Amino acid sequence: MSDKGRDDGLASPELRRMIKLAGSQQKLPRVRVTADQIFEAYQERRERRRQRWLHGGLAAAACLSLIYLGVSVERALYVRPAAATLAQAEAVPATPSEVVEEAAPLGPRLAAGAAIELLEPHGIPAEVIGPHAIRLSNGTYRIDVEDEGALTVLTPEGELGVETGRFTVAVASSITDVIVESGVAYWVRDGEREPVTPPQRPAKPEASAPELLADAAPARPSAAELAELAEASLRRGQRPAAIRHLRSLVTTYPRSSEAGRGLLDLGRLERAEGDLDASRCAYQLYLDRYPSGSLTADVERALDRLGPGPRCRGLRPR
Amino acid sequence: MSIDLRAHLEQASHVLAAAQRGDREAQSIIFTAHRDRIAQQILRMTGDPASVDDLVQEVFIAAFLALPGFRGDSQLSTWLYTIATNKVRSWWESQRRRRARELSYAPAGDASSPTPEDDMMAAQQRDSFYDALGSLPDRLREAFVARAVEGLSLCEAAEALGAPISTISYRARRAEQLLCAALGLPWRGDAE
Repeated sequence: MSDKGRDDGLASPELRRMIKLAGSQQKLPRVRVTADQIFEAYQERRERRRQRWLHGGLAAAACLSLIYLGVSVERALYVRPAAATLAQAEAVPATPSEVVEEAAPLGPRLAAGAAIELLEPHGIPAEVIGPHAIRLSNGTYRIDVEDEGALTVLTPEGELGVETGRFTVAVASSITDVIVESGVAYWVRDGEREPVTPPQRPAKPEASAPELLADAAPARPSAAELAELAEASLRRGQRPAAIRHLRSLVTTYPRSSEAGRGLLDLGRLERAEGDLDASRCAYQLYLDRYPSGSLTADVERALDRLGPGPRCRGLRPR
Repeated sequence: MSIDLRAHLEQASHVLAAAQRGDREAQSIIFTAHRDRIAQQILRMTGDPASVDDLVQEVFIAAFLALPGFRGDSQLSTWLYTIATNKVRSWWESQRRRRARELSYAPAGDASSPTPEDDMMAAQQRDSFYDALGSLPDRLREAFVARAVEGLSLCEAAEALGAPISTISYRARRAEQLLCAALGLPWRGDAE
């Protein structure tokens, strides 16, 4: 792997010499472990793991049984004194399970004329605070408010009011964008109402957060912010969200310093997602934009590994 | 695609599928194909030949246990690289604990066997290098080893370590800066 001439990224020639010296000092000892030994150990550990699962399952079953037993006993103790007379029995509150059934569902519910839908598979569901109030975290949401109703929407950017209509709200980190399809939406700042993005634009109901962010002026995230959003998504294991942020980065800010590496990350993530054509297009776009970049050879190798495919128009296969 | 290559790929996927089912022969083929590369990687990462055998064994046992979940998102070699990196991370952790114990209980001098002067100098340099490497935070060390020691490109390192290219680049550079400071070497990164 340590081919001569490959860029190792080192700025210190002294350190490079030291690494080379350390490498030349090390002669790989003969690996004594055999495939048979590994297989034996593998079988043993697999068996141990199976046993652990079995014991865990049995323990869980035992716990559930005990809990069930405990609830039954508790219920019996709870009901018995009340059952002395019919009148007393009627006066006694319901058993715990009945109480739970009556109280369900727990937590506040949204008013009948309002509905909220999370459009992004990896977004965070909205939190219902009250019949007319919700809180949004990261994600793209569609909000419908009917019959002269109004809803208070708490977002990281502030309080938003929406009245009788359909709205798409995209929240990414601390930035919130609102598209008003119909109805009225306004920000509540210092007790004053500020209308949202007049004139109204047609909404893109299926649009993802970055696309909305790209559309909605003026609070558009910078290239660095998009790169950070992508990295944060990746850290949370949300690969599709990271891809969307990177797509937004490389299309919105093609000349930014983050765009080149963004394209490479995009190629890698698209491939990991199984979209080989999109991956190929990202790599191809990198080569088109940076024909003499320091990573050109790597990208060409990555393209070779992907094999042939349809031609690309930007990031999309034709 | 040539017929030979296609046949080879088909065979490789059959071997992989059989190994995922726990087939002994298939696992043996995979082990033999990747053993030396993994051993070399471990040696370069740890600088300790005595630990190579144990770590190779750990890597392959872990790999075969996890193999049913391998979806082929990356190449098998990259996947094994990642497992080896994780095992080496645990190894460094145990080394740190062991050294801390040794420093507390055994302040005796270096007991290494006498060697010719040149060899000894080189051995000392190697030891200093790996001591400094071991003192780095895990993520910085892994990025640095992938780039500067293993010679992986930024793309390959990003894939193997599951981090964005910019992050790998930053970590490797930061690790180099810390290593230079620890080894008393001049830092030339800011001059670029």
